[in-house]
Amino acid sequence: MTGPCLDCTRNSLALAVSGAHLEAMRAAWRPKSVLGLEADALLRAVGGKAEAGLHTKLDLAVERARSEEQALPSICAACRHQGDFEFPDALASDPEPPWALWVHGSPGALTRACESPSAGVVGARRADAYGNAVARDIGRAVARAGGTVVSGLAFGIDASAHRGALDVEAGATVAVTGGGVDVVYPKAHRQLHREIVDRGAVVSEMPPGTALWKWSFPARNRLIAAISDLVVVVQGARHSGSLHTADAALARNIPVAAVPGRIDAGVSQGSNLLLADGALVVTEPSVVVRALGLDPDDKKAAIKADLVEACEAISADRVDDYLLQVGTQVGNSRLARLELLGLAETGTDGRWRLVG
Amino acid sequence: MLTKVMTFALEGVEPVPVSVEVDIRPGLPTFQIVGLGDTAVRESRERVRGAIQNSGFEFPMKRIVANLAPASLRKSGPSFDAALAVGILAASEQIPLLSIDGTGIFGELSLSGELKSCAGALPATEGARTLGLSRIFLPERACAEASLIRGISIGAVRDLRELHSTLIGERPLREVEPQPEIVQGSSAPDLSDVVGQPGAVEALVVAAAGGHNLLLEGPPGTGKTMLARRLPALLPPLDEDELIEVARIQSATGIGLNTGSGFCRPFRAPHHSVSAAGLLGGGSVPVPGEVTLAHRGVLFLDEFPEFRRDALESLRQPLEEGEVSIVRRAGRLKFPSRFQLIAAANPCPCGVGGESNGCQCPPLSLERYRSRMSGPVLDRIDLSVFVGRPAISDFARAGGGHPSSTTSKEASARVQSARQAQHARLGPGRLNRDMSSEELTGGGALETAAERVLAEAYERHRLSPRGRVRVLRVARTVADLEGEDTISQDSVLAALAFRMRGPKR
Repeated sequence: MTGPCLDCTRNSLALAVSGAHLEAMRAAWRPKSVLGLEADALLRAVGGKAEAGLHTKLDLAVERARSEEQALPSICAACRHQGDFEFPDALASDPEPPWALWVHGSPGALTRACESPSAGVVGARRADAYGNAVARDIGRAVARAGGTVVSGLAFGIDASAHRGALDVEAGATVAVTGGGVDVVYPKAHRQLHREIVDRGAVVSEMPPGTALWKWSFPARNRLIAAISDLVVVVQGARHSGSLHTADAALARNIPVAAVPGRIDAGVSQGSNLLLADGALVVTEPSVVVRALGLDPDDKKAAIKADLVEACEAISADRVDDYLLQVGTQVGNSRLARLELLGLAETGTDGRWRLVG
Repeated sequence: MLTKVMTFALEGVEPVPVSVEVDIRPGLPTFQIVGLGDTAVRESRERVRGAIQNSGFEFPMKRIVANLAPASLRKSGPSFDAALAVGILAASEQIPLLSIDGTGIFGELSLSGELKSCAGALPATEGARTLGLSRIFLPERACAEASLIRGISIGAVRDLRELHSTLIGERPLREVEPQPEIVQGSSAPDLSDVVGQPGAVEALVVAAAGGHNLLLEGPPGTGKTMLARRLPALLPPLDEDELIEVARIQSATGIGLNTGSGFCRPFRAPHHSVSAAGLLGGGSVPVPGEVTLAHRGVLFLDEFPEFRRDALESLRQPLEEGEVSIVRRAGRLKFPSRFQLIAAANPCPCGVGGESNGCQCPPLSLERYRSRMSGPVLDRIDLSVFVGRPAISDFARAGGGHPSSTTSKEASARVQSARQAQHARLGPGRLNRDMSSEELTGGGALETAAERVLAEAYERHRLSPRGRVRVLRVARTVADLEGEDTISQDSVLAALAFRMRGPKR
């Protein structure tokens, strides 16, 4: 494991150690304008009387980080200069690029999210049943068509979108968090966190172990926007973090879509305003899929080679031979999988046939 | 003079001790039998008189009254003959009273004095042992089945003369050797006779492993009956207690009990015109029905939708509880009925089943046909599989001895190992088909990926909650067959391939 270069590590750690100070200065500072400062400049800016103490803290943190590099084998990291994986171009060329990235899970999932179609699905934490259901449907539709679902692992819409992607057998999803990738926030999402680590990636610009501050959330939102090719706001109140993500997307020339909501529901007002401002109207999940340039009807996009074999057996009307060849148990489970995907069915004559 | 001889009547399939009391007094020569007997019991008078006289004994020309106690129990059949004859011989002092102490006598007499086999010898022997009798005399032909019972000496007798000479001590007791270990199932037809049909064969193996009820659908002549007949041989051999349960039923109903090398679990295939009473058992003196005859074996209902609705509905209790209770004027009886159900149905009334080559059934009659299958019974069938026409190439292969087909031996080895896994998990007597939803999913038994697939299927295939549990049960069995501790995604998928399809599932 090589990890990010010393400077970048130091710059990221500077953010982590001065978290509380950034929080206290929230009124005076737009947090995002300090994210790009190098360590010394940052500490000078936020430190005031405590600057000397922060320097000491930072030096200790750098030392510890270097000695602990090997301690978390499932986490890998990179910066623009070096690292365990290729630092994505989309983030390197961002107007507010992260110093470094830590990935818990598969860095390939992050690369895929940046290079092939991906949708940032964001919205209110206090979403209602409608919002959660729609978010999950969108997550499923995007994943089924072969796209990646990017979100922030929060309660409500974020979690629903991730779950929707995980519902799909080979569904891809990336979670961006504001704290360290090993810090589960909210705690209730321990299981979801683990599943995303297993089947996708949890990504952060903060070193492992970093706690979350209020400013961490808008900072994380800009990364969601930067990774995605389209940002979908499912539900969000006026002045909410979801609108912040939408702003970040617009600033990066990334299209924004929004799901229409009830006009008397506070939780939909922000998203409805986005629609009023010209955001793409999500009339059904496939709208998102099409906007990503994917084909919502291409059900075979996400099927694996073993299922293609089963499809061929069905179309050649040689299902019995196929069962004998691969074993009845295995063959049956593949046929059932095709049925579940809506690709095959049996008629009243009990014969398998392909659908569509 | 008064004598008392012990014999046994049947209440359902259970023995009830009956003492035959014979009283001989001076008076006009009459012979009367009292104690709620049916016609066969009344006609016993003539057989007993003939048998005694033709065997060279004296039939007392006095007033004879025989009482079958308890008098409240309805008695039927000819099995009291031998006891009546011995009672008369003892009461007329042709046999010493002492010799019939602690002795049971059971069997029908012919006019020539020959002891003939009749239904119920095995339960009678059990009853004699329970009563603490030291020996029981049985017709020679009935001894094979009775020898399954240990702990009592069984005397085989050919005729009344032999019985007499044994009782007075002229001849030693001809004791029957206890039955050696029974080799089960060796004569059953083999699974490798089935041409093609890999899916259906696998379904049969899964059904055997988890004790699941099975629905076979398919056009006529594709092998549904053939498959069903091969199920008993796939099931594990009966243990000793189960064997006696089965033998008791077969003995009590007078079905020839095959005690030779070919003993197999019962396979019952009643015709579809059978009545509810025929299935469950009935009659004013209740006799067991098909579900009881199929106890510990297989009940095969061919042409399932053609069965009478009330007959099918009546299967609910035995399927659910493993026994039937029948209430008649004569009293309330319970019959054991733990069987495995195989139902077979054509896909439509004409049988061709919408196959491309011309099913003529109008859509409405198709609907009606399917709706004739009883919902409550279908609800208790975990597995369903379609038995289609095998391809012509399958026959060529079968002729050439292609090794692709499974033999019963291989299949029953798989079944056996799956049963062991279930025994370890559930304890004795329970199978996967008895598992509840909580047991199936609790304690991490269901993998996360499997849960996800199941949830997806629940929505997509519109499963009912019960349908979901059925899929889980089958998935559990599939996992047991694969030797896995937890239910994997593939097991759930394989179970989904065997689920009931159609509107009401």
